[in-house]
Amino acid sequence: MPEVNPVRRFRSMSGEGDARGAIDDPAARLTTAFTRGGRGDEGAFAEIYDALSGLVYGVILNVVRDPSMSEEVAQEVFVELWRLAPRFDAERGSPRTWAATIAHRRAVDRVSSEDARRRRDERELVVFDEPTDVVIEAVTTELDRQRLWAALATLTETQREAMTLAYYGGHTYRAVAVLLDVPEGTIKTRVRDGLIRLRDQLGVMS
Amino acid sequence: MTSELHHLAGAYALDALEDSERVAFEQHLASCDSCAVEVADFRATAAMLAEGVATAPPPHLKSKVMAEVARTRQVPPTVVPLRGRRPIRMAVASVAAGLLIVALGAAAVLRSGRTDGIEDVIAAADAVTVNLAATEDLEGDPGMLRLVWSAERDEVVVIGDGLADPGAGKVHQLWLLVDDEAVPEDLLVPEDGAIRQVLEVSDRTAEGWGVTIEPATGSATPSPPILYAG
Repeated sequence: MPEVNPVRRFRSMSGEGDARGAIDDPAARLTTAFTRGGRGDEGAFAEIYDALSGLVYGVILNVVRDPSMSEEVAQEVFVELWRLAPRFDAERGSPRTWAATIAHRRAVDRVSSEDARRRRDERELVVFDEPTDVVIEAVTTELDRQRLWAALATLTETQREAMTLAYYGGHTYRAVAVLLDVPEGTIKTRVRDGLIRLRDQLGVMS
Repeated sequence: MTSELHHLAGAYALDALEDSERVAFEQHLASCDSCAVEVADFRATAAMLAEGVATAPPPHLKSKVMAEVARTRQVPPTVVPLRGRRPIRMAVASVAAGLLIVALGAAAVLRSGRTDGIEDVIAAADAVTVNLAATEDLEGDPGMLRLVWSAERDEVVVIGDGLADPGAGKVHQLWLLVDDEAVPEDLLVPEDGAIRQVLEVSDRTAEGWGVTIEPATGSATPSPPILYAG
């Protein structure tokens, strides 16, 4: 298979790939799999699982921390993706964004319960660090990952801190304000400004 | 309030709002195109943060997921057009423009709302919940307004809180929106801005619902603007 232009691959991850074009485009393949999965095709859903399991499990693990609980949440998320697949609409966003959104929401819901929070808080909270021991999903090339780190590096320290505590830490912006001992309005602004800069750096379009 | 809500788009996309704020923001989102675009972009950006921490799950998870998938029923394919975004927006737009409105019936037939029977409507097999979002024409705090509608019973439960006083000699009135028609329904009678009320409604297949402010006796055609729609 000829090497795919890395920029194109990167863009395709954010749903910008040409869904009707190249067959070797992972985004197009995933969209097609969702169409078939939406018609009850379990084989197509197995493909969806293979393409999204690293993304879904990774974001949940980052928020939830506990591996066995993360597994439970990941299973719930995939069953939810299956259940809702008939309503998946490629016009409204990429499958990867959809899956990441549902996975993060479920993870946050899970840690919101008192018990889960207590268990998680016993573990060390890593604000932001490049993970070194993770298995990288096939579609996420090392180059894509480096681009993300490079984009994050353009944020101010305070923006990065607020955003990563909120997203990876699964905290509300109010909780982040308490953790960092700054006014809530400041955190709201840092989160939003950080996302705007990251969006522009990565060229993400919904 | 509204400009404050705009600034919540980032925290919303990161699932970092308190529950009450999330509800308020989602109501705002339904009627604010610029926030909807921003949230979609932010969600796609947040998904990139997720990509950055992708981690392969334990291999046995796949067979557990597939076993669960095999016994899980999928939702029906189409989002029921009843409350689909497009038809509602079209209906609202045509009402706002004051065009093509054909009010059915000579006048709004006023029926007294009641509070008994709320549970019966909510428990009806065909009951659907419709969140009425504040439109751009509503100034100030929108509060919360929600319908539970049973088409079978031709009844809706109106549940609301924090509704603004419509002003002296004025009332809130409910409209059933279908095609380009706004069918007059009953008046809403909140107490201190809160409402829990059962209304009988027309036997029509609603595409959406709207709320306007009308003279105390109600109107046969809606007086723009529509303040809530869903």
